[in-house]
Amino acid sequence: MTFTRRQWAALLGMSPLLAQTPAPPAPEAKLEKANTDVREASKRLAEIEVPMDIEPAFRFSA
Amino acid sequence: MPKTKLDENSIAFATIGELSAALRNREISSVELTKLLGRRLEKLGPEYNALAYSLVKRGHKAAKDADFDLKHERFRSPLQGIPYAVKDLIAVADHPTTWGAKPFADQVFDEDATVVRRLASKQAILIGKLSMVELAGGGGYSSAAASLQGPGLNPWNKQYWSGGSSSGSGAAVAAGLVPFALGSETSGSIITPACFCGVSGLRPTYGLVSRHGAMALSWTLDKIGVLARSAEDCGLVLHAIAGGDDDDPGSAQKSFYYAPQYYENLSELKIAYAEIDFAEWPDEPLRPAFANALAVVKSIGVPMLESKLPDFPYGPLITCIIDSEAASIFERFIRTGRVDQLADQKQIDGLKASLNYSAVDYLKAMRVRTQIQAAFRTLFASVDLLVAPARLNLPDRADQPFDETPPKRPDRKGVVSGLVQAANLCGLPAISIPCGFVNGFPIGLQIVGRPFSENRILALAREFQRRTDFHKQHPPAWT
Repeated sequence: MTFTRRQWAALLGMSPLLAQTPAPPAPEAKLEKANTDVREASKRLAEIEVPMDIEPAFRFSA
Repeated sequence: MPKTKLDENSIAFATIGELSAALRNREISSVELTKLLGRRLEKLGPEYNALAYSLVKRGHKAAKDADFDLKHERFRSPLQGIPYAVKDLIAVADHPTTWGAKPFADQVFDEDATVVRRLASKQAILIGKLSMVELAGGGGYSSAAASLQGPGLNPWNKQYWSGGSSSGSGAAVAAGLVPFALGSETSGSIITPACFCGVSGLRPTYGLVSRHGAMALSWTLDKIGVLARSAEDCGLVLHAIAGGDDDDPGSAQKSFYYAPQYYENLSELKIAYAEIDFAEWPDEPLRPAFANALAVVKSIGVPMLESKLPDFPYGPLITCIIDSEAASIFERFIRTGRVDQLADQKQIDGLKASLNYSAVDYLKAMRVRTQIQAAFRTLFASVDLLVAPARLNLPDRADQPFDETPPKRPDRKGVVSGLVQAANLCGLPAISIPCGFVNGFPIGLQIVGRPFSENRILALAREFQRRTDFHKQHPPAWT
């Protein structure tokens, strides 16, 4: 016999709402999220078209 | 020694000009001033988690020297004899400089930062190091608690954040612990705490103020600036700290002379703004106060033109540049695992992940940055200043993770969206000045100008402050 999370919660006297609260992400998941953010930023940068003759901004004066 | 005629409250919240006059008129001595503000800094600083390290004892000797010169009428500058403090990423020889981070808690440099030396030459009295978000927030962070001293608490309501990353600099000025403080900005770290704490915060043009002796987060974006009680005070401090420095490769080798008299005719300027920035972009409770602030700006009589920012993905671009440069600067710190000692897990992960940006990503961002700078040159060909809200929201609670739910904002853009990032990418100067109150919190108005147009920015800010008294209000005094 299998129990749903809701049934486990009822058995253990927990509120069903609490049973639905997702567990905090594992540390590895947080690092993976940060890595995914970098990959997405890279993708977004790749989509920007820049003419070949534009050089990087190495000077920041007026 | 002449008897002090001023009460603690009026001294604690006095401007540099008022304190300088009191010192020269012998209403108070620098030693007395240093004692009084030093006591406040040591007693009240920890209540806001604003104090990283007290230098009050060191300050007493410098104050004695200043008094000696004042007594003999050797006037060196308006800052002579006036106490101040610096963000704890600015080196003070033989004292801890922690960068707000536990792994660097024991770090000591043997040389003062250039800005500290410049202020010492004006006989300003350094009395403390102020707390900050660890490593100035490089890698991103998830809550106000990302700091060695704990969450920066807002003097207007200690349940809320003082802003970052110059958290202690904003709180210390707002709470009347020092008349001015130095902070730094890579992207928003002066503007945000100045806005949240209700003080005036000036971010100078990139390269105008030497960063020698300050922690590097992003070589091409870092700036040192001022948080003070008024635009006038920001000008006086900038005058003292600006100037070329061969020890800073990013130095523009330019000086700054605070010359408000040259920009009195504001009607010759043109201001770009967008109604939508004040009426629809801020969180709803802030809109009436921003409408009032805009009405004050309009009442000055400066020609105002509806405008909008050039359209670029400023956020991802500046994130890529900061993260890539920070990854290089802190590479060893990250790869050896010392990074795991930081307080904020998001920051730890962000710094680790930042090693994954490629050279192509970074150079692409820097090439787009060239295009952004060209677009801003075009914009500034027809206007002199940009005006917009400094922040669109009130501060987050200090004891909870930041609410990262994207706020609902209009589809149509004006000037404010991306302005902090865009202006930092272009190295543009800006000021945030208090422009109203909402639910007991100050809000800020942001003025941005061309490179090296600080005098013009300060002229408009000063006129705004001549017509309002938001900058004169302060949290309930603690004695």
